[in-house]
Amino acid sequence: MNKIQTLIISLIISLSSITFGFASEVIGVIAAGIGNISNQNNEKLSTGSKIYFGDTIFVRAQSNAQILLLDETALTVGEKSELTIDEFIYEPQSKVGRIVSNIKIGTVRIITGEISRQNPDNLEVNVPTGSIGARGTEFVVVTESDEKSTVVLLGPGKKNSLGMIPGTLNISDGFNIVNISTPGFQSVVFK
Amino acid sequence: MSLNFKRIVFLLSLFIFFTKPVLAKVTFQEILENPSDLEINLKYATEQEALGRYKATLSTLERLNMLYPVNTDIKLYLISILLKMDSEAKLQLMIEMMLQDPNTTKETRDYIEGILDTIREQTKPKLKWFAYADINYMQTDNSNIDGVSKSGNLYAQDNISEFPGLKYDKTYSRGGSITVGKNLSSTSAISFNGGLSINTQNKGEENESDLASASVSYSKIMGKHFLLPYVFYSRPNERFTADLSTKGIGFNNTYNINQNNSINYSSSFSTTDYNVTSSNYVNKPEDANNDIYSASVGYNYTFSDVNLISSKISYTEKHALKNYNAYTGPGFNIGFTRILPFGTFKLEKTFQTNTYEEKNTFIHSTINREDDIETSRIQLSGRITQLLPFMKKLDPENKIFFNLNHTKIDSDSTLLNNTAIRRNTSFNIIKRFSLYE
Repeated sequence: MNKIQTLIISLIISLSSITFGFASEVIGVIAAGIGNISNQNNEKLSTGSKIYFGDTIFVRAQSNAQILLLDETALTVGEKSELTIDEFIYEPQSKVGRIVSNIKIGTVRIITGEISRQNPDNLEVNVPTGSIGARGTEFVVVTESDEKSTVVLLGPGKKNSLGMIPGTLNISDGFNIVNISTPGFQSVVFK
Repeated sequence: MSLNFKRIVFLLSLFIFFTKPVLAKVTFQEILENPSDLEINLKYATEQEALGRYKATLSTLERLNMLYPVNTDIKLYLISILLKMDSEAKLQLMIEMMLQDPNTTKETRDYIEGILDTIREQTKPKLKWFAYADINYMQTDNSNIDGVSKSGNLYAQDNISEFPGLKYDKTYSRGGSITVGKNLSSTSAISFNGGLSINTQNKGEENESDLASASVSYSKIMGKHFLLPYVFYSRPNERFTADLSTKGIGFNNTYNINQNNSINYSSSFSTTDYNVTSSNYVNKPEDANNDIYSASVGYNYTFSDVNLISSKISYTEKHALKNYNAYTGPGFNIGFTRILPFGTFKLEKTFQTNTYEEKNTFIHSTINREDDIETSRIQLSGRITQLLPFMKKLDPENKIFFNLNHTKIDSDSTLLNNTAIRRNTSFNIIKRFSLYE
């Protein structure tokens, strides 16, 4: 086998092991779905429904859901919420990848997974008024309107008995950046 | 690295990595396929907790709580994790949600509130005295207890002669210690430790002693710093060689940069004095009296919550009454630690080069002594119930600890006398008794 053949085969093997966020590619599941949940095609979603790249998830009144992505990122979505997974690339062996999620409205609690653990810069949550980067933590985003979002760091506290170190959030409105490293602290992002 | 050591490392690595899938039975893929299966998900939560992957435990319990809102056990498990994580804001939110949930019965609400009060009380920092006693037994197999040189020869006044020492032997150590301490605040504590041990040897006698030791340490968390200054004293009563005493002072600080990275630095000073003898020997024990200064800087990287890679550079300076016993020694250490269900596994390698200040003319008149010492260590330690789960009946409080250790010290020296390989394999078991808490 010559070098070019070896290279092509290696490339095919490498690419086949990467979960790209292309259309029709499963990137996670509705791990818990309570009430009225649907996607952009108005298909009803329930516990166990698959989530595909580019899906927009609508969680209606008196409903809530937990979305589990392939890298173990968990998004708990409250009622009257809408979010899209705009980008999802994940290589399960190296646990490297990238997530970009867009929260248009509502309340979403996020427990970061492997992608953020490997490289915190690779998890980005966008809200209408700005964006949030997270490192090894848990946080909640409340988007009230196109003009106001509130971000609260929940993550493990300083007195935790598990040896965990509180994570950090970097919140940007496009001009300024605010870092939060104390659990319970919050930042409000206005337009 | 010798063939035997390589074989041990290889076999142990195979054992660890092939047993893991058997022990961690539920995979994340199974969770994706069965996100609502109560049994599988609860098992996954407990397994992930045991592996130190608390975020996976948390998200699993939250999901189960959504799917099974009337299950009290899930709520209590979730509360216990949130309390351990010190996620106050979230805990309040969860409790509020649980208590407001119409599915939560009055009985469950009362139960949650009662348990919460108890757990809060238990997790409050204990600002009081504590005391415990340890009894300890250790057996060590030594491949070269007297440090017989690789060639079997040594220099004596420039002449080569046969090294007369003992090679294989066993040593036994039986001892006890008492630790008394006080939590001064939620972030600081002081503790006093005193211990006695009896060390015996199977064939030889040079390593037999009764050892008395004491130490005082203070620990303080300051933001991201964990400070640990200490003083210590040890006094071996050697049975067949000269007695000595060592006293010292030091400090250690770990700076946690973030969840995965930390820097550690330490410094210490110790002074050792041998009993003055009235003999007319050329080499008197007190000639080895020494002061040792040492310092180190290390970097630790944690990944996947259960793995730690550590590296450290160190510098040691030994001053002695006779300069041929004094040296300077830069060193480098690298290690890998992994928390496993059956204990904490550690692999470690240390390199140190000791350059002596002066020739020892009683050994060789022209050769300056310089030792290159390579130390390899493999260790498994933890609670005995981790290694032998059936021991839970004998040790319900998890207060028996074990330590299996294999060390190889390969020393290459410019002097024949100090070119030697020593291999030590030890088994150590400790039983702890709480005296006051």
